[in-house]
Amino acid sequence: MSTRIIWLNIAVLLLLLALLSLVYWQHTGARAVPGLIDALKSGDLQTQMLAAQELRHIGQPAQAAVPILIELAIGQGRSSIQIEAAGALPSIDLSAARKVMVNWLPKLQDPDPQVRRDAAAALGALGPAAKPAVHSLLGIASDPDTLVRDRVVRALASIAIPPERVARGLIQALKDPEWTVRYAAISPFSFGGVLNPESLAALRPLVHDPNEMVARLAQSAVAAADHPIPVSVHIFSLDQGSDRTLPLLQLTKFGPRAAEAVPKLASLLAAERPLERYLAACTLESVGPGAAQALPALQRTLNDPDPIVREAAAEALHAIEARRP
Amino acid sequence: MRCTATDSPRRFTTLTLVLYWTCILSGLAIPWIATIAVDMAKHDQSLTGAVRQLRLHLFAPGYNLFIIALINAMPFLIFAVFLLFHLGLSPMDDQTLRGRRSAGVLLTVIGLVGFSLWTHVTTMWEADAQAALAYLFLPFLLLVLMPVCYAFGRALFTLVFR
Repeated sequence: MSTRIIWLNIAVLLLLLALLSLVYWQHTGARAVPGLIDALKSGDLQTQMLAAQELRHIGQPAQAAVPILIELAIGQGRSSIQIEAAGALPSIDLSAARKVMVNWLPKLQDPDPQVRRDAAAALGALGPAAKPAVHSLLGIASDPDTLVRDRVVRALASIAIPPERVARGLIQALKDPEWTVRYAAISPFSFGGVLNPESLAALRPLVHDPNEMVARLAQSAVAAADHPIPVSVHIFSLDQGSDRTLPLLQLTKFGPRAAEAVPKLASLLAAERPLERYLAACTLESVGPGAAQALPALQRTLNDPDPIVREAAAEALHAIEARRP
Repeated sequence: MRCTATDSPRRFTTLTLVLYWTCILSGLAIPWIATIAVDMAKHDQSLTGAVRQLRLHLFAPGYNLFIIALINAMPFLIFAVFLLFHLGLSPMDDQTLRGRRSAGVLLTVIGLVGFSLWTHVTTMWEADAQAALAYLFLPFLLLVLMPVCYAFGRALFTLVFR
């Protein structure tokens, strides 16, 4: 074989690789958004759900998809696409997520239990962005419908802030007569949850729960309390990986004990993603007076382009200054 | 008896190019073929349905079948370039050497395709989050497999056509 043929085939291979790279580039990041918007409009449930997941992954550059995501999140469609569309919004546009929250909140009082279930599930999908919904969710924590209570508990675990109020709701659910609700209430404590003495005391009796699954999960939650993950590990996690949402939420649960994270949190108030700036402000709020060092950064955040971040910064400033000795 | 494909230079060139492109294209296509096969065999999907599922999951977060195909193809690409030079530049007057090299390369391609396909099918069949680690380790395992299969192929040729 001549060397000319060899090099010609190598060149064709390089061309193929360039073509594959181009295809990948075209289908990822902001360039994929128009195609994903079309997928959201397709009417096919699976296509819509995958498109919503991808848009969530893309984040802020997917702004163009916000109107259709809001439409799907509050529309009359299936609950699964409502949840997926709602779940995509916080990472793209916090204000849009709040619009969805405002739409679902009154439905928590609907006489139809299915509507209440859907409302709780959609609010839970919004995650920490639905912080103002915690009060209303706690209001129906004793709903006569088991599935409503289950969705409420899961929503509280997903929203996670403010940590004290959420923990109170979860502790109350630990005494629920239905085992599925108790199981859902233990989960956030078991998987990386930070236990305070009150929650630990409420969990201990569940170690002997008549339901084996509940008892086993309670055992692992109580065992996890003996070896809590220190604040320093969560601070370290903030510098690793691309998604800081989880370590920020974990730090929020520490409350004033997360004071050593304040310098890092103050720097995250200037993060690129609004959701991270929002969570950094919420975590500083939960730290309280111990976060005084972050006051200048919080003052600057009052001019943040995102109104929800500005609101969170104002609440954090209030929490730090109002509780200062 | 000698392998007829290695007899004439033209046939040998064709064999080399067929092996080269088979190696590259199978490296890229194996994860997709495995996805379609598992969807059809395990989830009772039609071929059209399985192809549609593949298309939907090519760039979907958590699936990334396009990236998986590229990761899987890496060792195949390395071996394809190796075989192109190894067979393409082999002396035309030494048929025994060409035969030995062809047997080594052919067995390596079969080994790589077989091992990769088996890994992808079993990983998708079990559907475990941890199983996805197989996609990361597979290219390294294939790199280790390459010289083993090649040596085995050459040894086999020597044994058979001694």
